[in-house]
Amino acid sequence: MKSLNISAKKPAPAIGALPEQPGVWSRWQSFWFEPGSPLPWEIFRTLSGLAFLTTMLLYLGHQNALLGANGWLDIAAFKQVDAKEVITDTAHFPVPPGWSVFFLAGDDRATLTVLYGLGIVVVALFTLGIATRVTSVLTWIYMVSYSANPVAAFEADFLYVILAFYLMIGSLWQGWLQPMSPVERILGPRPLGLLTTYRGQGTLPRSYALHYALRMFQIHFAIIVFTSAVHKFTVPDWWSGTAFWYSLHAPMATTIDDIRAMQPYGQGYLVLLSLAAYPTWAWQLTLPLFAWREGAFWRTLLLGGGVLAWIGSMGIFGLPIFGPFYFIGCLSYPDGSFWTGLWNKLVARE
Amino acid sequence: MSSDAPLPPLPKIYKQLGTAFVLGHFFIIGIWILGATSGPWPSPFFPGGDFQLGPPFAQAINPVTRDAYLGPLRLLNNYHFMSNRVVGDEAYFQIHFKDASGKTQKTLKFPDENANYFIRHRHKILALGLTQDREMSPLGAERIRAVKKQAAKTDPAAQLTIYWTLEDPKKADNKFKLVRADSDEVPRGQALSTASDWAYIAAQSYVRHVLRETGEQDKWASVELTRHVRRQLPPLLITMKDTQINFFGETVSNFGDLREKP
Repeated sequence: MKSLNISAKKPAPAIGALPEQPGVWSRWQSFWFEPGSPLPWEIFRTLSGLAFLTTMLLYLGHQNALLGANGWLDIAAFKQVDAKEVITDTAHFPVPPGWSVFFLAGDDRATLTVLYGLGIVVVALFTLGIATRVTSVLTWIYMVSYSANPVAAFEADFLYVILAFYLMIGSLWQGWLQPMSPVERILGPRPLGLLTTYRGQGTLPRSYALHYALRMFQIHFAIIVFTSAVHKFTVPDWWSGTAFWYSLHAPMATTIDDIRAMQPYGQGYLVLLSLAAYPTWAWQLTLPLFAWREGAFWRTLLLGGGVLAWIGSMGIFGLPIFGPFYFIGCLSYPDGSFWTGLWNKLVARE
Repeated sequence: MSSDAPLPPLPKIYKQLGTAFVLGHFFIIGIWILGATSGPWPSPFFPGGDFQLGPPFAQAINPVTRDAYLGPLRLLNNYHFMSNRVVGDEAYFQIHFKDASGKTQKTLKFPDENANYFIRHRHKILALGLTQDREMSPLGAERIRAVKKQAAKTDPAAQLTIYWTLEDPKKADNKFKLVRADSDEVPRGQALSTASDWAYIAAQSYVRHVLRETGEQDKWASVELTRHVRRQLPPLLITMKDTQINFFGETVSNFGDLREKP
């Protein structure tokens, strides 16, 4: 088994770089403007792309219903919505509808299906790291388009738009300081992707742009998790520790006999639920404090939390998209040395 | 190119531009989040709690950044997720196809139990959207029939009021129907509610979609949509000695015939 050919060492100092200086500006620079290992970015891009692809494939066959002009919300309804300005008045829909590439299809099902199919191809290419300077922009356009129809809009759809936005920023600026062919200038630099590196066919050059874009996503992710946790302060069921109850015992799936069967140990069960809810809340509230900390304990807390967030959001709350987003968000924090070390430890041992 | 090959230092102008972008970007996002409506907060004026707008400085800045930056980039979410409010009703809806005698010949249920998890989830969202009602201002006791009739001559549709009422007032069995009545016929001096604009538009649109998909636009005398809602079960139920059966009831509301009228 090969080991990754990306050094775990700190990068060589840049030519002509000034000696490190203490102070806010110096720390600011080292946080944002260091040439970072591309490995975390490759993992970030590959997992995000897989998440996008999975979602698009799962809705394949329903694209006309969800996105088309003859779908669940048709053109006539769109006009009524516009005329009555109901979208922004309702708590149901978190973000007003905007533009979508699927609107180009009008009421032509075939065109919409072709556009949807092209979207799958584009996202697949981006996931593989092919022509990322072009496919990243197209992937972002598709993610935005995908969330434009309000009839079944889910608040987590916009989290994928955020992922795609930072992936686009990094991919657009990657490699501008490196010598590249004219084709690479347009399509994006080679080598192309995690697979190439694994096969030893090339090495991934360090990049200022990828490091910068990943940092931006990390900050945004921390803001999202923290804001969501603060928002929970206004929800009584988080204070009372019963937040998990409602999803675990959905009214359509719970009978009076289920409730009666739980009554002998009801109080103990509520204690258990509260013991699960409070650490969840605390983890979200404190994520900005430990997300950037290195060391086995902090990384376990971060990544373990990401895994549990995925399991919990799907298994308990029945919410797709939140889970993969949280998981990918947590995986974006460890640097290249962490991933190289982990890879060499777990996989590349002879 | 080696991963350890020294890179040229990043030009200072790049750092300055990068810093400006980061600060501006997260300033806009931060102010957008601060401007979100918060609550419900305890209030002596509103028994169910009061919602508060964000600070005035955020209210002043946000319209500009929404239109010029966050909107086009679709970064408009303020992360006050609805799913944080874990308490919520659960709903499904049915479409009933009726013949000329008023008999139901076919019923479709959504979420469809045979659909995959992700499509069922989208149908659940749609079903919850259909549960949105809005309170109507109570009508005064005075009936202005002559004026109404005069207005109806110019725009008859404008005179219809749509509101929820019990299907059978004698039964009081949590079955409601959406009634379209002349304003004169609407009960006076009592609180009424109606389907929100959004719910009504979405219901009509979904029925049109189903009819298009099945190719049965002209086959049925009426196509009615009913929403079925169950309230969340309070956790204290499992600590109570006598479980109240009425917690498990289902409220059924019939939107009526939503077929396009020629």
